[in-house]
Amino acid sequence: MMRLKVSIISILLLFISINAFACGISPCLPKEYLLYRVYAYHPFRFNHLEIEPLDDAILNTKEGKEYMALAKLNEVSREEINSRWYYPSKDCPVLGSLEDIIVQSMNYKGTLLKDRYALQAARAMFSLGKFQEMRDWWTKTSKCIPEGVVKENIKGYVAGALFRTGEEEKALEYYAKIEDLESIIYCMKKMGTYDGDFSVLEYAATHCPDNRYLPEIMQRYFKKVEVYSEFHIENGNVENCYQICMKAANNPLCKNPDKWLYTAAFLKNLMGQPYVASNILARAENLNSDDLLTESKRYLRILLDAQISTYNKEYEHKLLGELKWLDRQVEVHLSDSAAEETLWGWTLKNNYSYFYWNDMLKKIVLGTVVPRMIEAGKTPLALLLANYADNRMLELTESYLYPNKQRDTTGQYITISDIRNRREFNMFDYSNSYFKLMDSIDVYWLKEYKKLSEYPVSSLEKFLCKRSYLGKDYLNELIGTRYLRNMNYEEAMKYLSGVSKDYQQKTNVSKYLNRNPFAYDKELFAESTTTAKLDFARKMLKYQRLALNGSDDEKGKAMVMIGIGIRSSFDYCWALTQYHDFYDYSWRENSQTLAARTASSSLIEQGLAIIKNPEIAAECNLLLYRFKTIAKYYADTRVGKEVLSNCDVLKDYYFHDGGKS
Amino acid sequence: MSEKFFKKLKLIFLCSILCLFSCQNNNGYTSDSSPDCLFERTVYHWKTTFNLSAADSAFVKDHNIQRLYVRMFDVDAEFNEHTQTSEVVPIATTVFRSGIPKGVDIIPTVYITLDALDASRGSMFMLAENILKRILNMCSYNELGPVNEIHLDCDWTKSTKEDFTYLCSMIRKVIASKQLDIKLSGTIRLHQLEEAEYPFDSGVLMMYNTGAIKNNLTKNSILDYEDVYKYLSVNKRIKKFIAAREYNCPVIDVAYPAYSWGVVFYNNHFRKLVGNPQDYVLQEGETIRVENSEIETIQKVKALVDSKIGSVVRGNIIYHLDSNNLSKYSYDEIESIYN
Repeated sequence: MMRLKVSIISILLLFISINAFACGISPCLPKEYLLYRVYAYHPFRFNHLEIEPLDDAILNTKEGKEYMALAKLNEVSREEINSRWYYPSKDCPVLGSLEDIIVQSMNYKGTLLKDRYALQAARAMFSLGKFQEMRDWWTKTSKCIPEGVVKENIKGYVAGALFRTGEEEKALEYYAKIEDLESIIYCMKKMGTYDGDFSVLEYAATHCPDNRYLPEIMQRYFKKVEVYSEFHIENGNVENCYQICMKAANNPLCKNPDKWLYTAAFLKNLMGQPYVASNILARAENLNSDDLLTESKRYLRILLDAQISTYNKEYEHKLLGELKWLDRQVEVHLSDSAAEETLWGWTLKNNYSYFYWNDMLKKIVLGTVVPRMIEAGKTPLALLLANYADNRMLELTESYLYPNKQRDTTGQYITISDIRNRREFNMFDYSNSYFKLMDSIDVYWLKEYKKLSEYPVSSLEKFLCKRSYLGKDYLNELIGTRYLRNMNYEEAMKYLSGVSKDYQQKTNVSKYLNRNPFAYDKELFAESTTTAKLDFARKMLKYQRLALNGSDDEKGKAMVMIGIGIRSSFDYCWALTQYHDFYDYSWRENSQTLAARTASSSLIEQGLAIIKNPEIAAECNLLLYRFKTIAKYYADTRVGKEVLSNCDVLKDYYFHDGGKS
Repeated sequence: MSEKFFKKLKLIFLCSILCLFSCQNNNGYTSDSSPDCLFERTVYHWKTTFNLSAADSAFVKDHNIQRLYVRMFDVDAEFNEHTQTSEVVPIATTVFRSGIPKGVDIIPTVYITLDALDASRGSMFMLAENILKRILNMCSYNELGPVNEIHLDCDWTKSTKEDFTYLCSMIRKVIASKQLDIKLSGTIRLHQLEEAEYPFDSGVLMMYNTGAIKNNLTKNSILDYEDVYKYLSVNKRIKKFIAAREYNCPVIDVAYPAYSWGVVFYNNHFRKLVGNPQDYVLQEGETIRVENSEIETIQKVKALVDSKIGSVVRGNIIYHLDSNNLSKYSYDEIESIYN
């Protein structure tokens, strides 16, 4: 019986509380409507605010629950009224709900939730388009609302009301104070003053230079400016951007001018004024910044130092510290995706940007330090730096993927070591910036560089050597080839002798090295020689000695052979002196090649003139395809008879001419 | 039997005869589903502001207009930058600034673009709900009277007919779910005459905008007898239409134009329409083709329509209520369209 009484009382109490709850929220709304709207429509959400939710202690009170129900009702009503399909009707509960919410919110007598109720009132008024009323209400009420995030949110709505009642500039100021950049852009578009990111930055520089969303806009906009500047497009715009940055940095409103100063320095450097940029950056460096900006400042500082420093020992010491930092950034940030992209090769080989920290290292070292180092007369060190910049990522990737140097049995990753050890195409070592520098610089510097790499002295040199690719075969083969190109066969032999026998097979040009440079026709060697370059150098040296010390016939023939060898090595057998003949044909017309051709012709003619023995002369003419000469002057020699008896074309020519020529 | 009795009998007999004839249309066609035996005069209102001038009201009164097709809003698809998707939204909503003339029934009309149909695939029911709800709210809020009929205007083609038909069926479904008694009607364009089925209860055959407006060689895109003749002279098409009317859409009315405009071209390329061509100042390179709805053409076309299709069930319709244009016609000329 007692239990029954308790149950009945509980049910009654529940019923009473539901009614009381409903009446407490809104005496005007039917309970069913309230229940449907508040509890059945949506899961509870407060997606319009970044306000911390109410404490559980407050939430569990009647006051808290009432507020939550009202707030939710507001949210739901606003969602409906904000729909493009919404149209009021005479009996539509939405408008009524919102009116009711305004009344309820304004009549709140408590203090705990004063700001939150004010927010609900503002939101409801805004939805109903009661802008002037909101303004009037805010004028009376704002001082009573405690400061905080909620009040800042209310200001957003008040700003909207200001805008819609003609106070556009005031509205923009409000938005600027609450850092609502999106609304600023919206208003500017409505006012017709929006001109892309530039107009926003210009406004922000004056009114809200510390807006937290500005870095994103700055990044986006100035990146475009940088690209245009590199192509010499819209240079004037860089100056305008710089002015905005300085205006913002010097604005008394600006509490954190570091990003503006950094950007101004960046832009000044873009305008070709690194000294001024350095001074501006120094101001930024004295200020505390977040991690990203601190890192960015450091990178810019290293770049500016590289541009303005005198390249002496002092700078080299400084450079070492900077390179250590740059190197550490690459190592620390290396990821699977960066490693895979590196090994794929295409992006790295073509200098495309894909991994910020290595991109910056290459940009600074290859773009600025190396050329300035060469200007300062320190070419071997420049080469070492280029080596480091181009090869460091490859080496780090390998140790990242195989830290214990144990290869994956499935062979998932092909590292630079694999590439260098196999007889397939090596897309790195013969096409990167480092190689291009070595292939174009005077061979003297290559020799010096080799010495430096074998015996580094300074800390910087040791640091670089430890992190670079210093394959002996690679360097010796390159220097030897350069000497062949210079027609210095004695020196060529010295370096080519230091190349291991199987190395030639690993070079990209190996398949072109099986051509005989002294052949009668463009014939291949019977078997590929693994030391084609060395053999060629040796033969040419032998001919050179004969040309100096032999008899007239020996001299003559040797000179002819040297001439043929030189000509071939810059033509059909180009692989003896060059590394490519597909992507860039410029070597075929450069001064060195032209000089070689001239030397070749001269040696051949001089050689032929010296030869007295007709048999030898005929042999030499045969190598030069001079059949007419053979037929005319050396018909009785062994070669002559063979030519005349085997060459139908010549025979026809001879008989047609009646044997006179 | 007294004389009085026979007089009464004559009167009753005469009245019966009169009633019998007035319930039949000219070609003897009758339909059980015909809503009203009396001809109803109707006019379209197609402006975005409903604010009848004195002249407009006078027109409605003088010509005994009983029904007004009032365009409420268009339905189009718009690209939402935030969601990066197309949204179907109402646009160009009519603003009501004046009341409805007494004794006139308002038929809410909605124009639906093909883009809207396309974007609504998969959510046609929601579109139907939105359209109906909005119409009802607008009528309620602006005190336009009870809604007995909804009129849809859509330039559907063979490829989009299925979508439009589905939309109509969804609207009917929503109407039924709300237990409302609302009929569905729609416009029929000349090129839609070939269709065997129309997805609404009654239709309005549009005898205007018959030509290609953007073609600089068109003589009159509003109404050209030759254009209409081309459509109505194909017997197969007419037979289909009449059959459709009989079985699928028994109530067909015809709407005639009473408006004019100027079509501006620039280097023979369509540039824009102007409502008052006489006030328009041509820019360099521009030409203007002034198009009118000549009463002689209207009457000629009306005679052709009557001969090919038969006269209407409810009444002819004039497009549209604009005193500036309607003032160009005399009282009798307007009456001749309605009669």
